[in-house]
Amino acid sequence: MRRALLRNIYTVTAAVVGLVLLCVAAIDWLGYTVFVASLTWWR
Amino acid sequence: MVAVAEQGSAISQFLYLLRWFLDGQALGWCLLATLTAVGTSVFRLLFRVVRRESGLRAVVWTWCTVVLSLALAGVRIALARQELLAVLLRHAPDDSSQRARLVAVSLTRVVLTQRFTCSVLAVAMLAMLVAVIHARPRLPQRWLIGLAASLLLLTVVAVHLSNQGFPWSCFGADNSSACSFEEASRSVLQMQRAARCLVCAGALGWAIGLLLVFRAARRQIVSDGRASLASTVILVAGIGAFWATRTEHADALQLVPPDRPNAARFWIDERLQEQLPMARSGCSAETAPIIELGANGVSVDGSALRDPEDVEAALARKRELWQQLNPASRFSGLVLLAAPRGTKAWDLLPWLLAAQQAGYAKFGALLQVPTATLHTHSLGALEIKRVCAEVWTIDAGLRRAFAHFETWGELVAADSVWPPDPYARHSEHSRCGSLSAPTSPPLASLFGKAHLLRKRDDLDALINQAKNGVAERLALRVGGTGRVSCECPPFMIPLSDPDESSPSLLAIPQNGAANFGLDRTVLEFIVVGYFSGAWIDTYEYLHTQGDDDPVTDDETRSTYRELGAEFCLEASCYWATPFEFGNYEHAGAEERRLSEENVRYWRTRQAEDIAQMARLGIPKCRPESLAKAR
Repeated sequence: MRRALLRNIYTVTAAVVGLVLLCVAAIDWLGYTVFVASLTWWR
Repeated sequence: MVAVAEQGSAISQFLYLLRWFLDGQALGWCLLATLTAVGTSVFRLLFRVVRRESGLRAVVWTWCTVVLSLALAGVRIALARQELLAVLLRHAPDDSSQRARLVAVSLTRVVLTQRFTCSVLAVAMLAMLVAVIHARPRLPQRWLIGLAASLLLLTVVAVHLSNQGFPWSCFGADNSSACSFEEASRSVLQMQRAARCLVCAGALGWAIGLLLVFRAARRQIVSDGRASLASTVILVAGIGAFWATRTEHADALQLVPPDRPNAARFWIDERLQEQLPMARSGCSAETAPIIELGANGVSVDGSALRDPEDVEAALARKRELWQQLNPASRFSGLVLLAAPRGTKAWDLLPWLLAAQQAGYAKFGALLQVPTATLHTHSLGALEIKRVCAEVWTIDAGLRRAFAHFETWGELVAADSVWPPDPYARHSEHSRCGSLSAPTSPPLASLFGKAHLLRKRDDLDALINQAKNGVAERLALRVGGTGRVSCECPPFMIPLSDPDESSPSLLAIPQNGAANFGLDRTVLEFIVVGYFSGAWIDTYEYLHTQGDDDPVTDDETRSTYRELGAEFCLEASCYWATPFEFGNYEHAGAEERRLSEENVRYWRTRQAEDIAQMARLGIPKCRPESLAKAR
């Protein structure tokens, strides 16, 4: 039973952490577009 | 009617944006098809929820289309960014308008892809949350579906909001790069905030998840093994994605800084830019035609030309075009010169004259601002090279500077301190008109008292006295310089001290006194009047006679600038010193002949001068008047 509880905790934690990291990565990756756009006033 | 018109306008705006979104790209059409599939799935999911039928298949189908649309949007954005980077990192383009168009197209593609995808996914995730809450029978693993939908909804809303106003809101602004930098910084800041909100939302979801886990444990419910597997896959994907985007994250936090208001970028030859004189304080960003003197010759705004005449014609055409386009505005008349600092300044003078001939009143030097380096994580070191301009008014001083300084760099470094004008006038203004004439002694009584000044100090004392407002009427001996071989004014004040040089005199006739003018006579005069206290040049003398634009020649250009003591002339008389033959008893015949010719010449000149005095009404001095004056 305890093992099942630990597995459930792991499932929830892994899903939450994974999803948050995916979303944060997506935001950071899209933020790079702003940096690329800022190059237009460099050149 | 208004509502219908607004609706029509919104539809046409949507179609306009859709056309730019598709941009004739196969990938655009694929993404549009996928987003349509997402919409269809959402509609099907909601239909099933309302009909209280199992929505599991619709949920799976919706997630599949959402993931596919995310992948396609990601590929499209990555490709557009690559195109944008290729354009921006390429060296000086052949056609800047073509380059600007490419940049605008790529940026538009990125922004519209984000906007369309975010809008559709936001609706899809809302529908998913509705399904999680209301679907009967309940969805399996609905906590996971709900969490994923919530986080994705937050993400797309954050991305959508952070893109509001960027990058188009600053087009046409006075300082567009500073404005764009502000907008871009705001966008990055919002994204960072959104990321923090996501972490908070995730923490909240995790807490709720743990509560549910403990509640399930009390009910002795064990999670599905597939859920654990799915969570593991999500975790691995999340860690991988997070690790892979650190470079982008770091660069997004250090945007390229905007140009300072006093620096600008121009497309000039890179090697020439490095050879420009260095920028100085007071240098400013100016927009003007540029005469570029590169290794390949001269060009104006990139158009190759041959000689100053071509440059003059090109600049004149630019000026006329500008005036036609801006009939109500005043032409700035500025032209900039980009030339290596080691170029001889004298060699650059033709370009200055060409600009002046073409109607330009200001001339500027294009200078290089020290290069700044921006270290990026994704693109390495980026060198920010800028120029600015130092502007001068085209005048005689600037023309002298081109002749005076050795190199262009030295001229620029002179800080607008040009060499002084060797022909500058130092004349004071005439004071005869503003002084009241002394009332005594009577004029006629003074001719017999005419005398020679002894020293220069005597003259200075008289002038200072007049300067203090106490002019003294006197009679003075003055000599014409007709017999002197010099480039000097026509009259001098002889001094009895032979060691003193004779100052010049310029006489301003008062109250109808005869004016003996500026001819260099061989006569001598007794002048009666008073010193005004001013030292004036011949230009000032002529100004008092109503001639402000005298005709000059090589000699008078120099002698007219020499200063003479201003004398307010009330009366005068002349006398002629006779020319005598010398003692040529032991001289040869040729020498005697030359001497006789010489005397005859001077006697003729003297006769002409005497005739001139008669015409002017100036009397001959009485012998008794000359006794003291000699």
